[in-house]
This record gives sequence, structure tokens and C-alpha cells, in this order.
Amino acid sequence: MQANITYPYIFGTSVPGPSHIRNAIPCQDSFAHETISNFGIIAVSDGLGSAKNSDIGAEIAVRSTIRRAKEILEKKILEFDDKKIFDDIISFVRAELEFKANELQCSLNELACTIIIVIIHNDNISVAHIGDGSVVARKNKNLILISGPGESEYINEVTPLTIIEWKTSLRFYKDSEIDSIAVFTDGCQEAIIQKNEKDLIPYDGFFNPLFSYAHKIFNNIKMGEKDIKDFLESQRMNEISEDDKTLVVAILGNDND
Amino acid sequence: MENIDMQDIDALINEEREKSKIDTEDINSSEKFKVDILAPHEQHIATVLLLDTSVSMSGDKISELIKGLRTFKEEAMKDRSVQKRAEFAIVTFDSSVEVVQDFAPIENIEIPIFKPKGDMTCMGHAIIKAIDMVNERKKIYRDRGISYYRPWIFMITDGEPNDMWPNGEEKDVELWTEVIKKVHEGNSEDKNVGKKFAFFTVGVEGANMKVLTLIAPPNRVPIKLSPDKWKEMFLWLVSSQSTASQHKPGEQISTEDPTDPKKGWGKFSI
Repeated sequence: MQANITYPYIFGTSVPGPSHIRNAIPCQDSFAHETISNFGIIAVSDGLGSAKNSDIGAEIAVRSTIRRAKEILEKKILEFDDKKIFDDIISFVRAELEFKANELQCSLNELACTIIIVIIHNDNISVAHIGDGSVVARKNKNLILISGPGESEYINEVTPLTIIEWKTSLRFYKDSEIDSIAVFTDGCQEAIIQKNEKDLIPYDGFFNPLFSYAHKIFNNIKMGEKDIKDFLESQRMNEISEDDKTLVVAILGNDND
Repeated sequence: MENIDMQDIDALINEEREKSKIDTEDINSSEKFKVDILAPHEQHIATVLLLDTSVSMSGDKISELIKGLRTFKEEAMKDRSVQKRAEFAIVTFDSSVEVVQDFAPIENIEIPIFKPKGDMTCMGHAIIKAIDMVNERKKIYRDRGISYYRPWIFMITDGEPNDMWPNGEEKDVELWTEVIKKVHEGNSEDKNVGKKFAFFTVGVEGANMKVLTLIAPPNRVPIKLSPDKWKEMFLWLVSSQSTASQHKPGEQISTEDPTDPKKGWGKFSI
């Protein structure tokens, strides 16, 4: 017997990496989420280490994503065409970043950050992605890497949404029959994504228990947030990456377990 | 010479994976939250030390080089990041090109006693060899799913090449053209042909800095080593490798200025 659960429900957290704590650098990861009836919106952003104000950039990116997405979905400003919606949201986010850059009297590059936007509708997801980080989903009990960190040979290279030619770096994906998703920044990647020559594979030892857990805690999201925070701050996670870490989980519907 | 071959690396990775399966207490914060994560997979940075061992290096220069390399090893062994992530190879060039040390972690590097020999300085062939080596190493990393940073080629010479030249005999010009194209393109930031490696050129006393300036990438001009600054140069190399191997996504490699009047070890040759 399944209790009366409202889907989607979303929870997650960002934690600063140990190197940032040591050097008194603010956490450059940011995330935000919102649910509007049976829609869910998730925004995750990772400020670039090389950009002076990227913590501010990442925060503006996620906040303005949610604000604009809410406007579009609530007031039905645009017809429901995922690509048009994402183009509109990212243009809005960039305008907000430019406004902030003017205010701070810095260049847009100093606010450089990545962006992952996920729109959930029933068991469908649409994803827009610039830069690294990843989205993993579970579909009919199979784990799928919906969007990976993008093509970059070296580990310290990434494309931010602040570049002029951002449209050429925007990746877009959609899928359906999804029961769970996880959105995370690159600080988590080495611990939970396996690599071989050609592919990146979500590590089932991590994602299956994570999603099963997330399905069970629908009535205690606060505990979920705390458990994820403890996990991201654990010594073993810090040994794998000194970087900031963000992990957001969304449950779209019954997992039929 | 002791090298870790890829079988050893695979065995090491498996061993770490096994360990990780047992030790999950730390990451599982509550009774219900029970997940497993992958074993640490260190990112790698490959560096070729490309060293001139022609006869002109005899005497003080070669002994300073050996002493400097020993300091380099000692200091690198103290740096966790360099120890775990950096791999070094040593290639010498004189009348021939020799890989005296294939890529290995610093603890497995043996500093050889170089004996300068030969009346040739096969710098052109040595550079091609170093470029091939970093490309092959990157392929090994890719095949094994190891993330990596842009590799380094660090060349030290007290002379000029005599296996290649911008004019004269056809074979010399051919090699010159090939080397210049590969070095300049590979070190460039061009997203199609560049970003293959970072190429550093150091000229010690006696080096033809004019020719080295033509060989070195335009965006990374050669540095003339100041007298008695061998140790400082190798210490800089350790700290730069440490910085380079800890960079986060999006960060530019910013090393200390080697030409800093107080802490530096050389001067730009322009």
C-alpha cells in the first residue's frame, strides 16, 4: 500500500570542498528547486575556480533560473516547447548576470559558472546543460546518464554559460518513464560515475540505494537533506575530491519496487 | 630501472575497489542511507624531462643537473599531490635520443648518472619523441578511464640543435618545420589543433637563446637559467607540478613567476 505522496518531490544540498574551507574561499556551487503542481524545476550551478566572483554568479544563475521558469510555467508565457523555454530561461539568466557584473563593475567572465536545468513534468524530464556536472535518471529499473560533463580532454577545463557563443555549448535532452533523477556537480563525479574508454556509466552501487532511499523518505525530506550533507562531507568523499559538491535528488513517481 | 606497468596499475585499482566495498561506514550517515562509492581514482599529469647530455654539458653543468634532479625527487616525494598524481619520464639527447626513464610515479624514478657524450645535439628528434610519449600516455589514461591534466614537456639545454635547422640541408629543414609546427600548435590554445601539452624551454649557460626562442612556443618564451640557480629551478618545477595537479575545473594553471627577481631562477629571453 503506497501512502498518498505528492510527486515530484525534490531535495539536496551543496557543501564547500575541503580546499575551499582551508583557503577561506566561499562555496562556488549553488542549487535551487521548486515544484509547481505536477511540474518540478531544478537548477544546479558550479562557479569556475578561475573566476573571482563565481560564487555570486552561480547563486544568481540558479535563483534567476527558478524565477523565470516559475513565471513561464505559472503564467504560461510561452507554449510548452522545452527548447524555447530553455533558451528563454538562459537568456534571462545571462541578462541577470550582466546586470550583476555592471553592479560589481566586473566583467561577465568573473561571474563564470556552469548550469544544469531540469524541468520535470509527471514522469517526463527535459534537461538543458552548459559545462560539467551530470544528470542520472532511473528508467524502468535501468540507470541512464542523461547528461554527462561534456567534452573536454583535460580535467580542469570547462565551458561556462557566460561565454558569448553559449548556444553552441548548450546540450539538450529529454526522456520519459523516469521514476528518479540525481543532478550533481563535478565534485561528486569521480565517486559515483565509472569511466571506461568510451563511456561514462552511473555507478549502480551508489544510485540504486540512493534512489530506493529517496523513495522511502517522502515524509521526511529534512532527514534526506541531512543524510546527503553528511555523505558529501564525509572523509571518503573529500579524499576523492577537494572540490565543492552538490547533489540534488528528485522523485517523479512510484518506483514499483 | 623500476617501472610500474599497466598490469600493476590495474591490480592497484582492483585492490582499492575491494577496500572501498568494506569501508562504507564513514559515508553512510543514517541507518537507511546505505550507499557505496567508487575508490579514489587519482587524476594524472604526465611530464617529460627532456635533457641535453651532449659533451658541452660536461663538468659543472652535468653535475648541477644531477644534483638538481636529486633535490627535485626529494622535494616531490614530500608533496602528496605530486606523489599520487604526477608521472615523470626522462629523455636525454646528444648524438642519439634515449628514454632513460619511462613514465613512472616519482618514488619509482631513479636519477641516472648522466655521462655527456657525442658531438651532436639531436634536439629535434628528442622533441618529437617527447611529444609522441605524452600523446601515448594520454591514450593510456583515456583507455583506463583515468582523468588527466595537460601534460608538460620541460626541456633543458646548453646549446642548439644540429639535427634540424631553418635553412640548409633538406632533411634539416624538414625536421625543423615539423618540430616547430608540432611544438607551436601543441602548446597553443587553439581548440582544434592545440592544448596538447605545455612546452617549457630552459637555456643554461652557453645556450643559443636566439634559436631557442624560435623553437619555443611564442606564448611560452624560453627562460635563461641564472648562474647557480639550478636548485631553485627544480624546486619551482616541484611546486608547479603540485599546483598543476590540484587544479579544479575552470582554473588556469598559474605557477609562480620563474623570473621573479627575488624568488625566481631565470630571465625571459626575448
